[in-house]
Amino acid sequence: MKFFLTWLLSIVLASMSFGQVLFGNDTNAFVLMPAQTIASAFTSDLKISPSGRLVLYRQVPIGPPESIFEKPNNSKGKWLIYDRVSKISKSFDLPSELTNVDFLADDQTIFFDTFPTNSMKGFLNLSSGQITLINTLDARLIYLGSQSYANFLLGVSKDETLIAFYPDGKVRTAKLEPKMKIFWPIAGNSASITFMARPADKSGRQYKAILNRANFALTYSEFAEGELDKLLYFDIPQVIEFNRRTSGDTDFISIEDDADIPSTRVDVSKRPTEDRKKPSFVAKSANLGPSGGEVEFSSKMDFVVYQDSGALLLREIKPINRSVAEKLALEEAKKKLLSKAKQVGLGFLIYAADCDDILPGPEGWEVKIFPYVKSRDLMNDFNYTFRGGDVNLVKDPSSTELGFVVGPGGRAVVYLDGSAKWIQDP
Amino acid sequence: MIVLMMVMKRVAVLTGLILCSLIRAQDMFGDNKNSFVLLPAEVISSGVVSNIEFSSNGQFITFQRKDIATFESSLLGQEKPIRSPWFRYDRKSKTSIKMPVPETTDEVIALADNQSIFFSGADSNDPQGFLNLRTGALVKTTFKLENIRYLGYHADAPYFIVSVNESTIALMRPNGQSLSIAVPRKVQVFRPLASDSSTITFMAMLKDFPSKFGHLVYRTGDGTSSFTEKPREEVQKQMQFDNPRSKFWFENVGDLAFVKLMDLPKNLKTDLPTRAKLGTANCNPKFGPMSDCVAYEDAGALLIREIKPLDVELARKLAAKAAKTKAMLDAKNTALSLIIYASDMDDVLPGAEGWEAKVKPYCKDEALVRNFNYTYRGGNMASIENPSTTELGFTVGPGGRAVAYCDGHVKWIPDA
Repeated sequence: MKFFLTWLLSIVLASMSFGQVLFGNDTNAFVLMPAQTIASAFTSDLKISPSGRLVLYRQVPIGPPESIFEKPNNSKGKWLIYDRVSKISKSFDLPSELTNVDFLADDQTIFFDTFPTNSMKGFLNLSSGQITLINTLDARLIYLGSQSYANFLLGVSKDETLIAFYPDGKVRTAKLEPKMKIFWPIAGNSASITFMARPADKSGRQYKAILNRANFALTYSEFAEGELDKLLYFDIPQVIEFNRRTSGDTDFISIEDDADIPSTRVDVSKRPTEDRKKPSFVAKSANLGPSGGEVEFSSKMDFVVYQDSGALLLREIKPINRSVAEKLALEEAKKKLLSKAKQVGLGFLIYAADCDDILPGPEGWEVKIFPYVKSRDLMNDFNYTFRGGDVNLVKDPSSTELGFVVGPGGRAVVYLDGSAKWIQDP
Repeated sequence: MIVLMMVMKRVAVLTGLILCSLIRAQDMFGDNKNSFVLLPAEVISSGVVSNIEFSSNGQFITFQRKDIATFESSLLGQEKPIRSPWFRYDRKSKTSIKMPVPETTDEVIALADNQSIFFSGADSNDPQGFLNLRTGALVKTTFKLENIRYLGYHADAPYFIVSVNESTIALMRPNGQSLSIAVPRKVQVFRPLASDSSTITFMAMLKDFPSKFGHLVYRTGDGTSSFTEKPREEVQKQMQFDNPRSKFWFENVGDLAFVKLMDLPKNLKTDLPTRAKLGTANCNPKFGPMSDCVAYEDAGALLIREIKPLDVELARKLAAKAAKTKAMLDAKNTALSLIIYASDMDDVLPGAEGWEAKVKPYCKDEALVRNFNYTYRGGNMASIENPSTTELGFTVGPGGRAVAYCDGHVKWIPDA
């Protein structure tokens, strides 16, 4: 009878267990830290500044219940910038009809435009609050991204001219080679910007176009063997890329195309290394949150900002010693198994309490216990080792084994008094 | 191809796709008679929050909060266990204040007067007592109370219950006033369930064979009590749920937690969604006592979402409209991905075979690609005479198809 109460104190798993926040690959391990809140719903248009200090977003007040099915009325929204150092958001006087807003490399200038109407394009200086409108004519605009160190915006005009638009309204141009098609910028530093290019002869060869930032001259050359790979992976030292992917109702982050991970997760990218099969308890990915929102990584890949049910949250991604992570993950796996064993054990004890303190024999126990455990998964993993019979006749319930669940290098054993203990394999 | 994919990740192109994240039929739930929406989330607190509890009127939420730095050092095993401070969030002013309870507090019980809380530590030497939130006054108990039974908001009681031993229960008020109740023989008392000015009802069990479940009603006027048998299922439900009167409950499906109606029939036939996505599994949701909101943990942070009723007919219309809009957007996004792919590939659209794999890197959500029926035969886009009337493909929606054309525009074509 006394067991009934124990049943009420069912096992509650903490929402921030270590196992859920650790992830890594063969060589690295990371912790997805607990969330810091940035803003309440409804947020959108999330952007992180190149240095990672500022987070730009738009906030629209939550409307009546029906309104969540409608397109947000952005004209009611305001633009805000969250400072990670002061942890405060400040609003900015940007026109609310903007559709594209992004930081330039100096962290102090914001480019904005009103795609697709093209009615307004310009720069906002965050320290002075000054807005400079620019005219880009018909140029296809390219934003260079936070790795390019570029404090300007690039555009390719219809007459194949590369144009750089500066926040002060100045413009610089470079003529493009007519037989060469220029693609995305792939790398940059303070001296140059490297684009991918392909010749018009359809030979399929990969070229690079390097823009000298001092004299604005373009030079073309074919990529050397493996050079492109190196550029893509190693131009930013010590940075490992995380990635995110969405599938249906759920969202996850991974680099493997066919990875089957059933929710939003952050995954560490798999560098081309030889396959070493070592049993690991550190997961390949960590749960970020439910899908449906925007997700942005900082350029240094040291934090991720994401939208969850409209609210804006930030989680740091910190490296952790691989062997420490392995130990923590193993502990977590054991804890899970112990809780499993305990849960099934409690099912047995409640059954006994209902049946005059008699436990079932080894045959057919599954059918008898099921109504008390109500989970096939839990029961399938459980090995019932008690012979059955009257519980009161057992002299030492705390050391009499009821059953166990097999785990990594040991067993999670539950005893007749309901306690559970990890027993290491000899 | 792979190279292009890598490049795409790096570069934000200003002429990108516009994602509309507000078509949120997934936030609606109900049955055929009632429907509700989960409004977007409001943030309450960062950090590693635990022990979320509503006050009985639903205005306040008490919680414990560990620093993120503390979490990190405990992860690395560099920390001796320290206790975390307690806070109280006011839903009206939308602010949190730190509650001046002793550092050793492991448990906080909000009493039904919405002004007093009881605090207690796990260790027998830890101080225990009442905190008046209005005056800030701390009243410590003179002796250590044990076996404290929770008497939360659902009991509407401005006191709490202490089980002294198997035959007596004590009832304690913030002013130190106490009352003893004798438990009838063979009755085991569980949680208090409800109270009014003259009675207190407990969930209880009669130690008979076979055991009977029911309610023990105690009358404060004459000090008498009586046991009434109730169906076992009813008592079990009351045991299981924090607030059996709540309209809502949650279920974990895979990695996610969903909100649904409390007594939803298992095989209900309805054209409305029966559950709405809340957060990750293990997010420990707590529903407001007035069934108007849900507070939950999200990666350690504390969030709250209001739950508002929605007219069923309106819900039906909105769900159909949202599904149609979603199909249109999905078709448009996939069409644009195809067109951007083509512009990267010298304006050549992919053929019917293997087109999904080719377009995937250009499309953030691969479900869009999966649901899209690509009907164009492939080939050079420049050779298409009338792009605005040449079908690229379609996405099926409720009662029709969202057809995308080679110029990127999308039209809704109802089923004949």
